[in-house]
Amino acid sequence: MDHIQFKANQTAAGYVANGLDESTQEAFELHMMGCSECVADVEVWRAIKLEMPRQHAQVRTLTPRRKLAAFSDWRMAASLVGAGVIGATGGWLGKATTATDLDSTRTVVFNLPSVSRGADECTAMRLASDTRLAVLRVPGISKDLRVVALDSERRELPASDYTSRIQPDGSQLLKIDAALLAGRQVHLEARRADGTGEPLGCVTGLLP
Amino acid sequence: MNYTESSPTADLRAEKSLETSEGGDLSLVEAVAERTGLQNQLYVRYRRPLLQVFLHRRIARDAAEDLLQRTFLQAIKKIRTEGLDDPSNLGGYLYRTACKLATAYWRGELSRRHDNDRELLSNLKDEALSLEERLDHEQLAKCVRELMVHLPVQRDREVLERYYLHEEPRTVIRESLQLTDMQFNQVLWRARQRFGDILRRHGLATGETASAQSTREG
Repeated sequence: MDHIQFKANQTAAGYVANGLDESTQEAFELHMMGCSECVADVEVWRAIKLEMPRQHAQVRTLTPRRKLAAFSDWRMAASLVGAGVIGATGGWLGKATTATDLDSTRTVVFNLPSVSRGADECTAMRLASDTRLAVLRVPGISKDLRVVALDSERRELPASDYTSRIQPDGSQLLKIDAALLAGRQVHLEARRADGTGEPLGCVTGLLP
Repeated sequence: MNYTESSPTADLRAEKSLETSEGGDLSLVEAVAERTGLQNQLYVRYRRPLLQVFLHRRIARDAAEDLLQRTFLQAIKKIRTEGLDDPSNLGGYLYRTACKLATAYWRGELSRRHDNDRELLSNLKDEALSLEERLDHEQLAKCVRELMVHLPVQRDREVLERYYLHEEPRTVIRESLQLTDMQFNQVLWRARQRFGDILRRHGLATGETASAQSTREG
């Protein structure tokens, strides 16, 4: 997407409103690195957003508010520290055929935020010597995409090695045997029904 | 480390050519490697966009300042030791570095320094400062209030409030107000232009708002 398209689509306004999808956000942020006009637009919209008087917030609307708005200030932090992830995954894991004790060190929970995707090197997850299971949360994935795990030669791992599940908040959870991650690179890919996909990044397990 | 010490006149002339040259990043990387006064341009050119990247990730301004410093230090160190794989894409490198630092920050992997150099901030050239840093907070708040009061159409106010205060998705707002995608963008465009007018009326015109006006009038 070029500058004219960003301007025509009011991308700067959408960026500040957190209304861009992952790929558009990344493209726009990269574009901002070389475009002072778009940076200025973002600054203006951010000023409007921050300084907008609260008494104007009494607008009656026909549709329900997005529930997440109330949590917006801390949701990123909370998601990244993994506390929310543990809660969100608890129900799913509780139903798993193999009971998983999330309080133990045998399970490591890891969030793969959009900001780290597409990075050159693998993101390292620290594993304990007795860690058996890794739970990866991948937010911001379109519901028509499925997150798959690939080995270092980009071949999909056998279905028996991991499971994936879509969460109500749109994120996807992957449950992977920790032994597959230890010292190895596991690539994640968002795959469409037609088999095409886009890379999400790479994780590797670090043993003490 | 201060990247903003005043440059010699020759450097200032060269900075101008650096800004307009196609291989700006390449020249900038060379300047950083050779430690010439031109390296200050690194800060001038990339501070504002990188600051927005941090703010977008809900990092408070003080911490964002700290991460900005780390980003530039890391880039300078890399340039002076290993060099960049693609020196013509310095912006991309800085962006990725900033993203990684933001991730590390939220994971608690960075020590919280917050030792922001206020003197450094006051020494920065205007073009390296964001709108909020250039303008008085009260003035900015007053301008936004004026914008909201004087938007001619109630629907435009509703769009802005729902989009920014309540963070409703644009599709939801569009559907409930029966706006096309283009009409929604026009609402935003009108608000942006009107805000530029208000800033100018208050004597707060910036280079960018002035440029926006000239584009509109052109």
